Amino acid sequence: MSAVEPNTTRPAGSARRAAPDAAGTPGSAQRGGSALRETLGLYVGRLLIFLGFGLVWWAAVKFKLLDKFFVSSPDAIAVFLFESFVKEIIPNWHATLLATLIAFVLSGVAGVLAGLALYELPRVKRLLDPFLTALNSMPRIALAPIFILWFGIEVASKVALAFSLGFFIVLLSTYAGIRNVDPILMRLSRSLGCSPWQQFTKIMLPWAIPSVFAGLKLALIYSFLGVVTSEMLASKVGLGQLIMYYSGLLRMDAVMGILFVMAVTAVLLTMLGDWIEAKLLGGWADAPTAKH
Amino acid sequence: MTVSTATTSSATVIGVQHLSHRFASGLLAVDGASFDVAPGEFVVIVGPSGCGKTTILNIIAGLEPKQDGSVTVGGGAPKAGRQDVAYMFAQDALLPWRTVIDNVMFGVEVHAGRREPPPKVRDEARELIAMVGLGGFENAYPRQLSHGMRQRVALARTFLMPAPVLLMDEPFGALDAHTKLMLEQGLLRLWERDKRTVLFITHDLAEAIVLADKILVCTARPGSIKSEIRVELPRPREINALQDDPRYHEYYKRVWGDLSSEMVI
Repeated sequence: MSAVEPNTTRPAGSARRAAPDAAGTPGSAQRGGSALRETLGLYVGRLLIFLGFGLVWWAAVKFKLLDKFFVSSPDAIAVFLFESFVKEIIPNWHATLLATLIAFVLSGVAGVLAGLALYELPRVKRLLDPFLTALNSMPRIALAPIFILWFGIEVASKVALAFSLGFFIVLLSTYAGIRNVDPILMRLSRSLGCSPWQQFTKIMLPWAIPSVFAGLKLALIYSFLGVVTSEMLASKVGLGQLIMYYSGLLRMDAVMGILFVMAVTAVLLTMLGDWIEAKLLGGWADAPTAKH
Repeated sequence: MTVSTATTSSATVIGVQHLSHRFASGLLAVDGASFDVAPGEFVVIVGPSGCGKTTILNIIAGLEPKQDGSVTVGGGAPKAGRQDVAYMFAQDALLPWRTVIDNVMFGVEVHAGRREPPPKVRDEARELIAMVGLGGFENAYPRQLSHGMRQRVALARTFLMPAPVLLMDEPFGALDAHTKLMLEQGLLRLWERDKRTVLFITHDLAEAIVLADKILVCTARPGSIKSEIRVELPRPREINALQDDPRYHEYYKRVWGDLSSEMVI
């Protein structure tokens, strides 16, 4: 697990204002057909990459280029997933996901509030700055044993570790977003005589929203990583705990299968985040990530 | 839309006497500028770049503190956020998350505070959007519009506010020549409706002549008013027709003569 990456800020305010010179017609939905075909092509392409990779893997094991003991093989993984899906995968996946969502909600709420508070109280921000930096640069895996000691091996210690990641991501992106409001909008606010409350709710908060969203989406993935890490060290249930159990048995088919489930989960979480963002922001902002 | 012109009994809406301004760097930007703007008058300040004309406007708007000299706006001291003064920037300053119509309503909405703006304001906003040639784009977002279209939205936002005094800081300065002509004509049409007091800044003398009742030529830095030229071209003006009017070219020569002696090439 890496330290929190600082790439949560939106790619500068200017990117958003750079509109194409050509005027878009209002309600332009006339290019449905080709867009649909393109999306379809995208999904077919992805499926082909996935199947091709699986095929190469399977063939390499079949013709003894790779040792099955170390890498297992796609068919063995598929068999494992099928046989253990209801009994093992689902309950452990459920536990991991639940802890992830709890940590995400907590770090989202606390991170946004803390980010806004630090902006409103610049002296407190200056006072706390070195402490925040110190806490944020702490290698989280080193904290995991402490959290396990404090909170036990139930859900609380997983949530604590995930929160320690997500909170800072959301805090930093909220703070960065609200701080880089376009200066011309602040001049507009002054010339119109906006009250402080109007300035905050009508200009600064909406301006920060894309940046907050970028932070939230990152926090969702990092919450997941934090939970799995904590489970790998000590836990009763969860995908992390399951993967440790099977690697102890040298069951590569199971380890690979669980990794596959984790990867699918991460992709689904990202897509869910993008979808919610697109729904809430509507047409006014470019989605900062690629479309799925 | 009700616009109360002549907020004071005197015949000046904006009065500037011996205004001087020094930047924090020590640079003297404005040096003893004096001029008056009468109610309903369209006054254009034209000058070489860096002559302090934007600084003068910002002081009148209350966005910059006044240092030396006297400035009155509608009989009072300049102050940012006055509802009887509307300011239009060189940049469109649109809110990217608001549609065209909601951007146009923004100024009125801020002034209304907790009260809802009256429903007829929305109809007036639609009317203004159509007048600046953006009918059908009410629900588009700024990023879907070209530069010129966005500036037209800003123009409509400025005119929807019932402020009797409009301050405009090179609002068309960043546009291409063709778009600029269209917007100037649009501005003239809007201004003809209720004849508000306008103080307009530009470095483009053709623009100054087609718009102004009175042109103030600014000296090079430190800026002061070098000459006042009254433009007696009849109104309403058609910008295209003016190009064939010999009087237009006479004004152009005169203003150019005053302005060119201030430019170092």
